[in-house]
Amino acid sequence: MSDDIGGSGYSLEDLSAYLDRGRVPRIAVIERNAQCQAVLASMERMGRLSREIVEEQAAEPLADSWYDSIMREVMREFRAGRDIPLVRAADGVEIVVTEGALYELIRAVGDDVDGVLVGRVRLHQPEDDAPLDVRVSVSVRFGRAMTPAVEEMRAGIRDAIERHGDLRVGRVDVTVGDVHFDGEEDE
Amino acid sequence: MPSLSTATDAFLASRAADGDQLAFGVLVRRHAPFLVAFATRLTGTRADADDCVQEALITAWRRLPDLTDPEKVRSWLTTIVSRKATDRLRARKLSDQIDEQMVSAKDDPERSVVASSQMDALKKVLSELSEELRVVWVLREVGGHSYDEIAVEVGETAATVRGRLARARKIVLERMQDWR
Repeated sequence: MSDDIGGSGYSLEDLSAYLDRGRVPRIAVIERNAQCQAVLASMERMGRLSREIVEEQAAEPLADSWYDSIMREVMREFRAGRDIPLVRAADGVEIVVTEGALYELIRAVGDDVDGVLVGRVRLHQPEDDAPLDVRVSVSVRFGRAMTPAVEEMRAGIRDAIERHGDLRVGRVDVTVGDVHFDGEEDE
Repeated sequence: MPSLSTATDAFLASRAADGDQLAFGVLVRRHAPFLVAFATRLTGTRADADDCVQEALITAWRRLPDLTDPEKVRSWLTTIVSRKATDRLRARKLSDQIDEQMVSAKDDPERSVVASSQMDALKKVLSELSEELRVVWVLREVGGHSYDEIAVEVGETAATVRGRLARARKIVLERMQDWR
């Protein structure tokens, strides 16, 4: 392959970079030269073929054991976040709950509501002893009536947190940010 | 947790960023096969690919709270994997210089295989490319990374990346001539 493709004045490296720029701005000499076109088409085809090689391998599932070491490590690294006082006794004894544990509780309550999945959770307590404000984004199953689902979840979260002690819940804001489809399995 | 597997990537990523290990597990299962296949082409061996992807996923778990755009979790993961892979290749190069006996990737069965299809032929050609050419090829063609991104990943200038990619393409086109 000579360095001047088809007498166009452009080298293979030029064509390669031109292809990666998405062939813009358009260079008329290249677009009208048969040999340049052939080279560009071949480059594109080889790129596509290498993606197919990867896709072919990716279609084979990994063994369950492949995931074990990762998930073991992940399970060990629990993100606790800060402490939130749950009970304050007169004698000064305090029981706290971590933010991470409250996230888990809220996710568990929300996921139990039919057709709802809890996404991001944010807690806000302006000062100690103030009611805890909860902000939750959720995904709702396609076709599920939203208002009752959201109401059920709101009450559930409030109840689950307040049941444990003196901690009171202020606002529970729920944002529906996603919709998911039932039975839509991976791949 | 039956329905988590039906949730979108963005949803699972933000939930995992909040510390939900189950959501992270779903994400991992969804993307690991692609990441391993990608890393196999990058490093040249399946064993290295497995190690890179496993390390990358644990790193990802720790860095998830910093992920600004949860919708792009797949390309974010791909970037972490390619970073691990290029680190590993660099380390291997260093240890190769110390220990000349080590024959990196030369035991790859794809080298001895007689290509029976266009795909097999390309696998063989890619495995025979020098490492520096193969890496830019895979990052560009499979990872879809820009010259600037690749430059950062391999520690070279964008101009060098452009030159290497052109050399890789030239060799691939020449060796794949019969299949074109």
